[in-house]
Amino acid sequence: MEIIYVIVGIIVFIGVALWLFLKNEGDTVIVAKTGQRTPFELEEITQDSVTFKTKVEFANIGRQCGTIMDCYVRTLLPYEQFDGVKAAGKAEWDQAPREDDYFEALLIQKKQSVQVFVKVKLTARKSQDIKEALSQMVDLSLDLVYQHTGRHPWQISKERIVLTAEEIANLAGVTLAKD
Amino acid sequence: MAEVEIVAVPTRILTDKDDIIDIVEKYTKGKIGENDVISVAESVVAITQGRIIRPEELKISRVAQLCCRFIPDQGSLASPHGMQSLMDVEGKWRVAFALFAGFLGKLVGQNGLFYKWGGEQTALIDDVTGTMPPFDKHIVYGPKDPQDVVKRLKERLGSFGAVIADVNDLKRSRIVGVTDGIDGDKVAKLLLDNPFGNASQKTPIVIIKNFRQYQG
Repeated sequence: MEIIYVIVGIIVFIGVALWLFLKNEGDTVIVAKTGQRTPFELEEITQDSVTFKTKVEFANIGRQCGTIMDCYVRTLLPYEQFDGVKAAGKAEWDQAPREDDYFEALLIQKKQSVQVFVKVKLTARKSQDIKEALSQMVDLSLDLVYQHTGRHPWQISKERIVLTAEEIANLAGVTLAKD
Repeated sequence: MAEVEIVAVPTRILTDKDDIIDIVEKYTKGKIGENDVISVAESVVAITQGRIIRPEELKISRVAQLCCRFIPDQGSLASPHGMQSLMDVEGKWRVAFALFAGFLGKLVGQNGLFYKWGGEQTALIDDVTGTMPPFDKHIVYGPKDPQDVVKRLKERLGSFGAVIADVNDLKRSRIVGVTDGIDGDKVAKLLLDNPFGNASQKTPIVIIKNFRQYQG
């Protein structure tokens, strides 16, 4: 009978030791701090398009190294709401600008951060001038979507950013039309 | 005596549609002599062999999730995906046992048992971010039959020898496959500065000129 107690005791000891080890080691926790993003800026304006950008901090607040496997910006501007411009979003690591819209997977060490530009390009439809089109603009929702991992299987998270019609108008030098 | 010289050869991004022997021949045409050794990056050989997998394609087991926790957090097996990819090719319980044995070995001052008993892929797998785009989102295994690949490279190119090397920017250089008569340790030392370049560069082929004289 005593041998059974010994075996059970060893198993319990190993289990508790393992639990304590894992608890002490912690995991990766990657968060996109959209609430603390920089104000939107005008990056470029042409006859038929305008590009805005804001910088978002991605922080690894966990205790293990993590990876952002992919990151992209989903624009939400349905025709039903406004069909004057076409919206296209992009996420870009500030240390490695790329023109191909590809987001290269990157590591974030524990307690470290990286900065990601969230960009949105609005292109006038129906051969309009962009400023003319923007006079009717509505608030634009952007989903910042990112796939991340660490000591856990990959996950996809998303954060909502809203670029308001007023911000767009101010940055582009446009007066919004009244209803 | 002619001095040894390292010549990096840029290529386009190679994929599983490419044959590594044909590619090396194409990009090194007229550049290789009978005293030279041709060196190819192991991850690129593996990619041309289709030995890649996306993390999304893996079914992650609880054993993999647990075992990965015992690997230092920047290692390629430190993620559940890296560990699962290893378990899929080397066996779940073999890897778990090797990890446990490695832990016990360290307690008595015996290092490296995990890599010795966990299977050859233990030291060869590159996790996400380990390879250049578009493979940065994949797990890349080590190459299959590296000895056969280097043998065919040497035969086709008429070089003094051929190697497949695993080199990184952390001053780690390891020979995965080498033709007979070549001192792999000497090649590894010459490649320590990683002439293949970092992840975003496209120079998977390196010619070591005059290696025959250098080796002596």
